Amino acid sequence: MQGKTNHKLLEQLIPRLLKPRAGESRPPVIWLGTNTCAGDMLSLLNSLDPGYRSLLTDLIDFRYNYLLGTAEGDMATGILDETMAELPGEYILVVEGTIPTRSNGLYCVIGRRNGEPLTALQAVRELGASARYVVAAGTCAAFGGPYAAAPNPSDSKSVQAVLERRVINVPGCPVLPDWLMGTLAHLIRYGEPELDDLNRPKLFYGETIHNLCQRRHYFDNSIFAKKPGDPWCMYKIGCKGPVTFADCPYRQWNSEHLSWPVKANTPCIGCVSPEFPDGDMPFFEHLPDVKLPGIRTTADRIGTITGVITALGISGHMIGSIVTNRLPHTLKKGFSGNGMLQKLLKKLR
Amino acid sequence: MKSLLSLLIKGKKLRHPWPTRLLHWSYAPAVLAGILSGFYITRPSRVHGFTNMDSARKTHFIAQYVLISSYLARVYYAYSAKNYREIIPDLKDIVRMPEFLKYQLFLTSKKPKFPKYNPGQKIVYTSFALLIPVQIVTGLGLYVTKRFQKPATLAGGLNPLRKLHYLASVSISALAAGHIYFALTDSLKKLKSIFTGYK
Amino acid sequence: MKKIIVGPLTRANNSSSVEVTVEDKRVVDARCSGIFFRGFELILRGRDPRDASYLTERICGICSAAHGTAASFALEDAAGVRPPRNGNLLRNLILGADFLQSHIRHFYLYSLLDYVRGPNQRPFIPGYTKGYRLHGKVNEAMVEHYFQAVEISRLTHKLLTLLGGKAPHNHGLLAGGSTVSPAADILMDFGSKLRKIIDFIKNIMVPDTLTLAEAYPDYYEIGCRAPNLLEFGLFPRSEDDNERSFPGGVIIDGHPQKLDSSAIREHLKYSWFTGNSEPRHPSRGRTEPDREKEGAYSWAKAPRYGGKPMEGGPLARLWIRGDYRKGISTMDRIVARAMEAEMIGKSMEGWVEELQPGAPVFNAFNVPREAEGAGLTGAMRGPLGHWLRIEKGRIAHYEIITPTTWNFSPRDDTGQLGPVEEALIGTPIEDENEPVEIGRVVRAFDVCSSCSVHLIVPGTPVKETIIVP
Repeated sequence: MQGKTNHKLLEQLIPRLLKPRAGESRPPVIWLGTNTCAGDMLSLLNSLDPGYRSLLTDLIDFRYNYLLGTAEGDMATGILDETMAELPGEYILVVEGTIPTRSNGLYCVIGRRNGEPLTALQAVRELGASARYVVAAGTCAAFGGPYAAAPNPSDSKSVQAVLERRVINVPGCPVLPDWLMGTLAHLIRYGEPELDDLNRPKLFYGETIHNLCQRRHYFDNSIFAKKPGDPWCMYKIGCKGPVTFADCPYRQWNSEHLSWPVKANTPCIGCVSPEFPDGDMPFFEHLPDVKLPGIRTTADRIGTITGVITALGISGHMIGSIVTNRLPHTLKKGFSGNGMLQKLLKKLR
Repeated sequence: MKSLLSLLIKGKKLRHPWPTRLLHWSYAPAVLAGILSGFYITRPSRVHGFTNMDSARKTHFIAQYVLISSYLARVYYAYSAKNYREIIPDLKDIVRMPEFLKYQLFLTSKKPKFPKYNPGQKIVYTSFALLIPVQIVTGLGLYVTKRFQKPATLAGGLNPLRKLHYLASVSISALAAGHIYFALTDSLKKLKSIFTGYK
Repeated sequence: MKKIIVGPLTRANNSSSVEVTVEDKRVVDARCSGIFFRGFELILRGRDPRDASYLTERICGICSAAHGTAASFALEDAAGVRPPRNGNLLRNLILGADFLQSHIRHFYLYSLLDYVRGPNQRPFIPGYTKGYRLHGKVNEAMVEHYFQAVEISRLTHKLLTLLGGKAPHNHGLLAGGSTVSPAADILMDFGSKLRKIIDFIKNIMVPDTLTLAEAYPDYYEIGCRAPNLLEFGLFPRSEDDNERSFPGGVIIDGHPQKLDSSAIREHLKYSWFTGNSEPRHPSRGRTEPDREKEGAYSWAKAPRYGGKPMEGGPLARLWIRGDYRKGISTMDRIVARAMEAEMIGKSMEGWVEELQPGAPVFNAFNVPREAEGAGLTGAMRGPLGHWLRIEKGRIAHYEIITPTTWNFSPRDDTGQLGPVEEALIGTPIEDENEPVEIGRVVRAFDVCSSCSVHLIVPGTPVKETIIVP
């Protein structure tokens, strides 16, 4: 009996594992571009193995792609409706870009439906509701990114913020092709990858740049670059490697593993982080700005001001104490009493 | 035993019982080491007494463990011996604040008498008690970053968390400088008591 | 009379929307809309001026190096610093590589599918069924070249990665120079990849454009407009920036004139921004987004030079330089783009030769407390300008006018059409249900609405005191 159940289970599992292979029934993918620079799709084109051609023929059924699809206008938007109606629960939705919510989402229109503008907000909500997986490609879609930076003129939000369901975040500005390709492959072959607290695949975002950095020993030994272009540790010119989780140092850009920002003698700017870019700016300073109502300054400046005030306060008080004879009095009293200090001093003499 | 000890050092009044002194001398060096190594870590320079990041970071981590344990012990002691009342400012302190400030600003030469601590001391010690948990939480966030990514988003992310840690440490450093200055200049008897316990 | 709306206009760097009115199978009216808004200038205020080059790169994925370059020029102008010789050459190489990337990807990935039938698989289907004139082996070869172009454009991004750490949004473009010291191994790698790219452009891309031109000769008569062209100049020849490889200039009704950037005005009547006041120079623009504005139809403003709508891009650059003056049409734009790619590739080989291993690549400088600067450069799609004002060491005002703002602009206050709109007028539409011709005309401009739709929006000034050492 038990054997039979196992057999049945296997029967169900095996085709699933092998599903995308042999060029048949590749999972449908909808790639939606919202408020984006298109950098993530362009970055995916940089994938070497598999390349774009093999991606199309072997891995996925690329039903909708705002950047490279042949269809335009209502024909393109029609694909979205068609896929939602025909393949609910089967397609993978990849969103690239942040979702503006100002004026009901009219700050980003991705097409038209029944003669009315179809906003990115509406499209993501509808498509996201019946997708098998939702993947946020790039930092904008995952966390908001540069277009949601203060003062966020279009009230842009991450995909997760406008969807009830779980979104798999694959951040990066742009996303490294391997990260996205790897996530897609994992979803197709093995299901959802292991995710961290921010719903990023641990496979790629499990360790800090700093801990993986080739120049870590320069850091430990305090050999620091003074300006961009110096071949040492970038810590002192604002490297965000210690607070950024990604495997850039190991993997390197793009798919030929040639270089990465620190190898190019520039600081990591933390482009995969949820705080990017606001929390990581200024890029060439260690600490972000301090923003208080009506005032904006650097953390260093606050440190300096506090230091100066403390020094002035102490020296002012000390001068006051000397002038008013308070300090000499205290000292005299301390030494003239029958305390230990006096004895000690005597002994020393 | 107690009286013998007091005879031996010829003190008059027990001001700091041994747990206070023991804990003071465990967290005081930890705070100082934490400040110096911390400033080195945020802006590496020999001015802070370190020559490389590795030793500064290790110092910082040791200081962190000492500080966390002695802080927790101090909180427990304050609670069990009920001596937190000596530290937290109360209504009387607010009432007597002008008097205290007048003296400290040299507007009067009459030194006001206070129970154990004056209002200034109380404010400083309470601030320490409040700021050190901030340092512990933000510091741990930066120490075990992996587990702290999500809670860190409350502060805006890990890098903004660095900023909080820095700002809190700047405040602690300023308070510590003031504390050391007054300890050295206000009354040598009281200064002695943190070593011997007796005034 | 019939209205046709193509929205989203896909295969452009970020979708936009085009609306045309057709009468007797000809376009009689056209409206181009940028359909999304981000407000980059607002975001830049109060930030460290050094951050602008990395942050503005993020405006556009396909021409990020152009923004990085313009931002670097603007800060160098404000700070009075020049890059070392190597720094200028490296930056030219980085921007050049991004040009090759953009031109190759535009021609093959964006534009080609208007003329060539793609393979019978998604996302090449669904698509229009009529109007394709290449058949059999010629069409097959083009599709094969499409996929080769994917590979080659990947190489172009690798050039960027070699010198800038990553691509897109590379780290090698900074005020003061660049950052990777040109060692022999890097130069060899770079040179070898560049060779492959140049071979592809010379042997495949340029012949392919000519194949298109032969099959679609009528497109020399479609998408025409008056020769009103504008360029800011591309690739400084030396670190002093006295001369550019592709010089800047203005052509008004076919007559070359000297560039005077004070003749630029921005019109707002048909844009989703409050205010219908007098057209203003970009440095005086003070507007706020208003999506509900009556009569407006685009997130792009309408910039005009001396009151005229100006076109930028490879054709304009080659025209101003005198290398190509055949005509101003859809096919001329496509052919000029391929020619320019070949010329830039050749120049890049020269710059690689000029690099001196071991010589400095970056000049350190201090950010001024109060200063103004302008960074003008040619970008893939035309003239790109960044204008910067620094107060108290931080960005007080930042303005960006992108090429697509010029090309894809809506009507101005006098009702004059934008360049793409002008070009669309008169376009024959064979079948109103499959208006493939519209895409052909619009895409030849290489519109990039990523860039076009977030200009000069300083908004209401935020009251904030900035204190910076």
